Amino acid sequence: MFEVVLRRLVQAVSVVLVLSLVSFIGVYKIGDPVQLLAHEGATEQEIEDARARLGLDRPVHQQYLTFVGRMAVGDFGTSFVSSRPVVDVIVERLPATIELTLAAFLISVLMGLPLGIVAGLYPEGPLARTIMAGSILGFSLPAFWFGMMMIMFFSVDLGWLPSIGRGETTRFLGADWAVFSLDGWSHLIMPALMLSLTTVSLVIRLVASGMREAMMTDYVKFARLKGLSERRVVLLHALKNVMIPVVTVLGLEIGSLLAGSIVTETVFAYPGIGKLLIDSINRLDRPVIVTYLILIVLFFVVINLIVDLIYTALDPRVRGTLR
Amino acid sequence: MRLLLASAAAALAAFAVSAQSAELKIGYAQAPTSIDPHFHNSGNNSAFARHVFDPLIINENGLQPGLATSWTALSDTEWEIKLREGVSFHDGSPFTAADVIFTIERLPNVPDSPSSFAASVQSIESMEAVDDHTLRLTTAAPSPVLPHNLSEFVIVSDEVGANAVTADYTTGTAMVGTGPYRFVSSRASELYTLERNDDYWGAAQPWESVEIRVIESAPARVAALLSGDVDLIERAPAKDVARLNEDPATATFAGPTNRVVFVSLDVQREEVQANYARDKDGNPLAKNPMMDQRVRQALSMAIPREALIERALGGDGILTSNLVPPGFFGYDDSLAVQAHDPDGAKALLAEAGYPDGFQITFHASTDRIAYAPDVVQVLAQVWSRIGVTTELETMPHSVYIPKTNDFEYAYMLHSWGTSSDAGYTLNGIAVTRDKPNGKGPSNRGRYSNSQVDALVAEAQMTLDPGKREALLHEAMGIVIGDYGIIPLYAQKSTWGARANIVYEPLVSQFTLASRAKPAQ
Amino acid sequence: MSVVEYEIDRPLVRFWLELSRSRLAVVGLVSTTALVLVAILAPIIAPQNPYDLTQIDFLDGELPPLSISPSGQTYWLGTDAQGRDMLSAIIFGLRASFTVAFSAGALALVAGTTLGLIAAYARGRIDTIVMRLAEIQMSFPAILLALMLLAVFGRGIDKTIIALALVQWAFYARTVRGAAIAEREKEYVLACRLLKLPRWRILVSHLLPNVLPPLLVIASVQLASAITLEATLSFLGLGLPLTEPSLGLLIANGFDYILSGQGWISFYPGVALLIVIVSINLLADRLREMSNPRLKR
Repeated sequence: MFEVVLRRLVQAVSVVLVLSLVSFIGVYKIGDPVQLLAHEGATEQEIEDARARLGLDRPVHQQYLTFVGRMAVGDFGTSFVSSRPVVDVIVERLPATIELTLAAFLISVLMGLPLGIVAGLYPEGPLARTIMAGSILGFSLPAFWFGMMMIMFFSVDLGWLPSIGRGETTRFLGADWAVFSLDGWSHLIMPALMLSLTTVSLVIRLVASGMREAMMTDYVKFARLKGLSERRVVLLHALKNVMIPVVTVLGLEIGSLLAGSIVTETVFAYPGIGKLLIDSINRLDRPVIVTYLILIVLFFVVINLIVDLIYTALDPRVRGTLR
Repeated sequence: MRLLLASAAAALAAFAVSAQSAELKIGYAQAPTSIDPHFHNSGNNSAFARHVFDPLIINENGLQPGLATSWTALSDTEWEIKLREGVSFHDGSPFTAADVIFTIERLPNVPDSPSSFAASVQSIESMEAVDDHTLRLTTAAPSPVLPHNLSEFVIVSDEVGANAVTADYTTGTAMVGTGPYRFVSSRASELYTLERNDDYWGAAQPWESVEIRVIESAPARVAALLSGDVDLIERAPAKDVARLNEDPATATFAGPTNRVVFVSLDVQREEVQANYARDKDGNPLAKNPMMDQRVRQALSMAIPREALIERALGGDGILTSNLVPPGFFGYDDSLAVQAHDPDGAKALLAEAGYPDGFQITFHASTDRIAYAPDVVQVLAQVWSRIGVTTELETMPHSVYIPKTNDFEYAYMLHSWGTSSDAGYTLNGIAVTRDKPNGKGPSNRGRYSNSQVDALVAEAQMTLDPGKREALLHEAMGIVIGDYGIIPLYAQKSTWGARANIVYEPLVSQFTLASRAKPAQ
Repeated sequence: MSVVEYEIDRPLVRFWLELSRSRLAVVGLVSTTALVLVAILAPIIAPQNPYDLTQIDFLDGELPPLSISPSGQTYWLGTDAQGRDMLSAIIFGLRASFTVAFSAGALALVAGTTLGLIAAYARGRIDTIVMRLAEIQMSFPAILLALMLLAVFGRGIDKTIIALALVQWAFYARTVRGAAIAEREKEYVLACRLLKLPRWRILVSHLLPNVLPPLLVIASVQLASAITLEATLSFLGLGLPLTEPSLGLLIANGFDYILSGQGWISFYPGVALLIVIVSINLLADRLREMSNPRLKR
């Protein structure tokens, strides 16, 4: 167990190195941020000066080595665009995205599981057909369009919910959180729904198909024969088996939720790190882009580790195959 | 008596309500990259800075006194600037010449700045404070645009700024200006709050407090205005203007800007670059067809400018025959807007040896110039119709601009905003590129005409407005007649506001709380 | 039931009989086939070639449905800002979306499945490398990937396909590996090993069929998401060329009209996209059931 975690950490470091190199070169290839940020009438001298100030006048490999060297001691540098420390910039935006992603994740599980179970248990019923049709609709709608429609309906026409931004925040554990206020939730609910759209549908479909299969397996039939209550059969025996693919996919979905938050945050002008990434790409703010990616990768390594551990707990046959 | 008291109480209550509600919430289309007013020279940052700080000279409908009350050229290279007396910073300290000198010295030396205001003050050789409110500036060479240059940046406090770095502005501790609003707090790139400076030297501000929210997506900005989450938005898309006008709760205010959108053609390279020009079968052309002036003229004649403004821009444009918008210093009224004449264009193409036309690849970015995707598609249509089949390659500005600076494309869409006059524009986009000397920094199509170079250089050294204007007119006439840089239109911009607000647009496109007034 | 299955040995007939047990699946099959045909025959059936810039006129832009053009042509679904007939644009957009999604999906499926199977079977270092690669890829936002590709190669249909395939392969790889690992420990695979069957045979003839059900679920979702993702890239200013819009780009263009009352510009492409995805999924649902031996009674 401890060995597994340790090995994963070592792998994480190499992954971070590869990724930082790829993204560093990638952003370098896109273009020179100073040319983009310079005002129209900037003279060559001004541009050269700015490049020197930002260290962009040196060969790219030197720039990268400096970056890695600093990163090793926990210094991710400062943003080209605002000259603020990158870590500050990201940490400031992080709570917003954590809230958004978690809310979307919760919606996915809380809506997806029960609906999926119902659809899987009574596949021929009208309810199940409605749910499955709804799930198809769910991932057929382009999320940005769905988000815009919600704004149209709930904010513009009905005036129930604020259309954009993040609500009132409260300081907690050294960060600003919006989930402690009603205003915060009223800002959060639409972006979270938009973000969860695809994941809810995915969970419904996975659970429904899994349930259908599970209810036909011998062990469920056997459990029934043993006279166990239907509820016990469904929740304990069938569901446990269904959860294996669901947990894998949900784990992966956290990643796509994070990526999806880029579009959601753009539509709702929601100040999270997804929006930060888009802004940074548009301004070629390399330190922020690379640090963001490193952060996400580390996050992924952790999520995957957790998924694998839960996997092991759920399916004893996989035990001992973790690497 | 009781009645009187009651009505007085009611009046008081009413006053309290109106004072309380005197909050203005603005939706910006773009976040300031930094609130340090000298860190990054961009229009957006300057607009934000103008709430907290003041410039020496205000460039609104001509040059107006700001913190400077007068500016006089004592000789070709010497200027006397009289500063406003009795102005104090938000921390109570008085505004003096020392603050101006400190600011001008800071401009080229902001650490880590990606784009400074150095160009605005590089002509200044020395500064001298004659007294607390008189400043004498000496320039290395005659500099007629110095007053314009002095309008481009804002003045920070010497006392507060002496030991401040950009981070101190970001946290707000150094956000001490003389402007109409005091800085309260910010959540970077998201939300900025300001409150009224009751000691402001200028006109009293109607807004007790101002909240600036950043909403980049245009429909989201409009939705926020419609739902009342914000009171004022900038860059309202033309498509939504009708709706904003129909809705009794909202209104729009449009105004001209200082920006002209133009087509830039490579007129310098004989060989066709990267197969950007081909014959009808896709084979490379032997010679860059744009070398022939008739071809360039044909492209210009094929463009129905009025229809383009009406349809692609939804009316958000103004016809212009020059590379500056009508009304700017140096705009030559005698030049005519190119008439739409597709048949004439075809005839010119045939005359130039391309009776069947040819194919080109045209480059543009989609996220900088408003409506650029629509504009370039219209260009592709009208050019294809005269036989110049046009393939579009569009990309984000971050990819586009470094490549155009490196001359990687041949035929492109660009725009240029002029803060001062036509001399600034011509020097920026039409003068032969000579980067080390700051000439033609944004001349991305390699247009080059030695006559233009000489005229612009002379104009930039000429203080006499009449002579200067004549020189600029001559230069502008040559550039337009060469068809190397083809003006399409001057941009208009539209602001949307709640019905209880009136907004007065600025050509700089700055969105300022002070330009918004409660409707009568 | 099972009698029928054994009596008929022509696979296509058997496939059809089994599929047609679900009426919805037949609907899905018919409409998917019809849509694919429409996409293939687009140049013949569309009233206008919306990619031919000499055929469209921006002066006819933003006309409401059922308008008649100066040349006498009826715009059944109206026109967009560039004066493209929406019906023709949708038909050609369908073609573009299908081309992108199917090519990207096929590329991702083949690459992802191969890598996933290899990882599951080989274990050890190869497994680690493939899975870490998948992690890197999945943590790499699609948009950034696309932007980088764009920067290096330029905008276009081929680049969009590659970008989408690069975005999607990891989902297949992860899923296949997960399912294959679970299968690998099962008795029949152990039996195969004991029989000393060659590895590739165990992989292809035993593991592959068993990882198909989850793969099909993922594939149906991914096909839909490829179309949506392409739309999203267009929404963010990447994706296909402006003059050759896909369904996604048409919807994205319509984004600007959401508040302006010219709803048809994004509404009809949206409806078309919904029909496409729903059709694919109705079919995919049934295919999934059929391919799942555990669901057969």
